[in-house]
Amino acid sequence: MRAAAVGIMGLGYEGLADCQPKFLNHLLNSVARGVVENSDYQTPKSAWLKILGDMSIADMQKRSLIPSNIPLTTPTAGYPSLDIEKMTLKEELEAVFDKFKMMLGRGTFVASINLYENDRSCEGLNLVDNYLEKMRSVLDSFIFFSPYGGQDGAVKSRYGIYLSTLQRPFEDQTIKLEQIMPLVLNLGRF
Amino acid sequence: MQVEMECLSEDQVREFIENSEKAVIDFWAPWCAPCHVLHRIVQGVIPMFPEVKFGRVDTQKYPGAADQFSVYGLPTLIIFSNGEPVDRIVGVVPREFLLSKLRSLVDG
Repeated sequence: MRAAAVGIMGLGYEGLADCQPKFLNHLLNSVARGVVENSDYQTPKSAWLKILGDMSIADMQKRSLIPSNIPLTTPTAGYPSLDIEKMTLKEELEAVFDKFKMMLGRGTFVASINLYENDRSCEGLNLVDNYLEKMRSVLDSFIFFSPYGGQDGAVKSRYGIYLSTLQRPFEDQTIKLEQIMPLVLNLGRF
Repeated sequence: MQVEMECLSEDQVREFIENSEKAVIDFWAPWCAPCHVLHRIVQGVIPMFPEVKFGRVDTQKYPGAADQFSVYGLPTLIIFSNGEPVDRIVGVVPREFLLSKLRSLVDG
């Protein structure tokens, strides 16, 4: 089973409306979709701490998850471990994608893309879109999500995306951060 | 920064429509992904139609408002002229389509 969960910090559906990224818009109309809701954990580190709950990076590996670029530490944790403060979004995406290709099939790849929210241009979103499309082309199952949306003025949106091969429970409710990891653990089983 | 639409309760929506010569109400729910896409598209056209009042109703919070206006799918935009519904858009539509509907409202 080739499975991956990728969290893109700061990507909301408003980005899809503004920039019309081809692949993500295709997914919006073709796979299970939902809305992540979170107003309390709106930095990459706090969001991942909430998503992981009691699970450490070592625990992830014990459960056949492959952590990638998780922003709990500096440099980030997992494969690759990156000093993202010195990188561009494109460099971050390339580094994560390279490891993704190497680790394919060894477990559920769980990655964080942290620099999109620093570069919320349509060019930035198109880059993310291209890499997600490349990943999807070799995956059996995936979750592409955002723990929170884009920033408008001084406020970040509480709504992030959820696009997946995995139907979520309770379709008429938003997805909370603590519900994401159980879904990720299920990814490798289908 | 995007223009925010007035959030209306079940009790406020009828008054909002009756007090507006031309109005558009966006019926949505937080869990509905296409609702967020359409909302952004609507936000983008609001400054072009100062004569139209735009409001939003969260149908999860106010399900009675959805019943009142026979909203069976989300997102739904209902366009009102002089307090009466004159058009309805269900689902995400391209910006140009929305603009044509609003031009018809204003010109009509």
